[in-house]
Amino acid sequence: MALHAIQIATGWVIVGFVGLLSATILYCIWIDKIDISRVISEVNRDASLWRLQFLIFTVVISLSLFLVIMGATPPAFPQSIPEQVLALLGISGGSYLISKGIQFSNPAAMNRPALQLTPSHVTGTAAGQSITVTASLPAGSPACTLPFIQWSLDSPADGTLTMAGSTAVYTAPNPCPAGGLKIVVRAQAAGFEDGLAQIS
Amino acid sequence: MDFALVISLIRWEVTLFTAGLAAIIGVKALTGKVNTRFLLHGLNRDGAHYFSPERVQMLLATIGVAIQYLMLSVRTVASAMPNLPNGTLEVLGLSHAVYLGGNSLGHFAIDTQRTRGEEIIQWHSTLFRLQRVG
Repeated sequence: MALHAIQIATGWVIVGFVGLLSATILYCIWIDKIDISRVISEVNRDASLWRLQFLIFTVVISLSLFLVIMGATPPAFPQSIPEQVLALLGISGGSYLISKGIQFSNPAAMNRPALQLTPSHVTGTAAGQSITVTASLPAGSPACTLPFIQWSLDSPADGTLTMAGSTAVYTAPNPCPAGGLKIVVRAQAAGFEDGLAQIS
Repeated sequence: MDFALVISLIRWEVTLFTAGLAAIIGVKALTGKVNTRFLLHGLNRDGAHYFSPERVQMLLATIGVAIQYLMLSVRTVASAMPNLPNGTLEVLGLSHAVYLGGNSLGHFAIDTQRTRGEEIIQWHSTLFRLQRVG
């Protein structure tokens, strides 16, 4: 009887711990205290389909395993994992490695020089203030002229951006957002890492 | 107090956590807070991005297989993980082969073009030098 009571009490402690842990993790992710913005990104900052695939399969298979474990009475780890499930993960992982090999054989995917933005950091921006950002090639770059540059604001895209070639003018919103201004101006060009200018 | 209630609660907690996590990632991806830039684009040797249909088909195959397996897992009441339906692995393998094949062929094609271009430039410069010497 006492043993059963201890088992029940332990069960409730586990329920409480799992519940609190889950809620905390979800809350921290939601308020960006746990940063998942690069969860499926590669080193060169491009999103990766392989990482997304890994993420999907990992979540699905682990959830399936959990449901099977909890479905047994009493809860128990399954006797065997189906070979097809292991093959599924093997195909995904093997293809990922092959794609990495292809990527490393492509110098464009690695060690690309980053565009330089001037100014790169601006603080104390007033409401409605305009800031001119200019893009330039990094020192030692083999390219002589600037390629076509695509300008954008990272989310949250407060304010406006007007662009003309290698120059963009950022105008802060009036009034500024309640939590303060945190803006990233991004310049993208083929063959270069993105140039970033942080405005706050 | 029944132990089944504890098990049921943990099951619900983990299910809600997974669903919540998927929902948050989905919302953040749609609002641009999770980086999905160039998810469906490949990278040329010269660093330019291009739209890649192979990636689209692989994404669709991945989502299809994942949903299919998830539905199987939810419906299965046995104490073992469900097997994948017949042909699923073949479809997924084919999808990966199409992507990797297309990617590799693209690389070789670009290499071949570049090599031929370099040969032509070398041949022209040699000819030019010979003309100047002559």
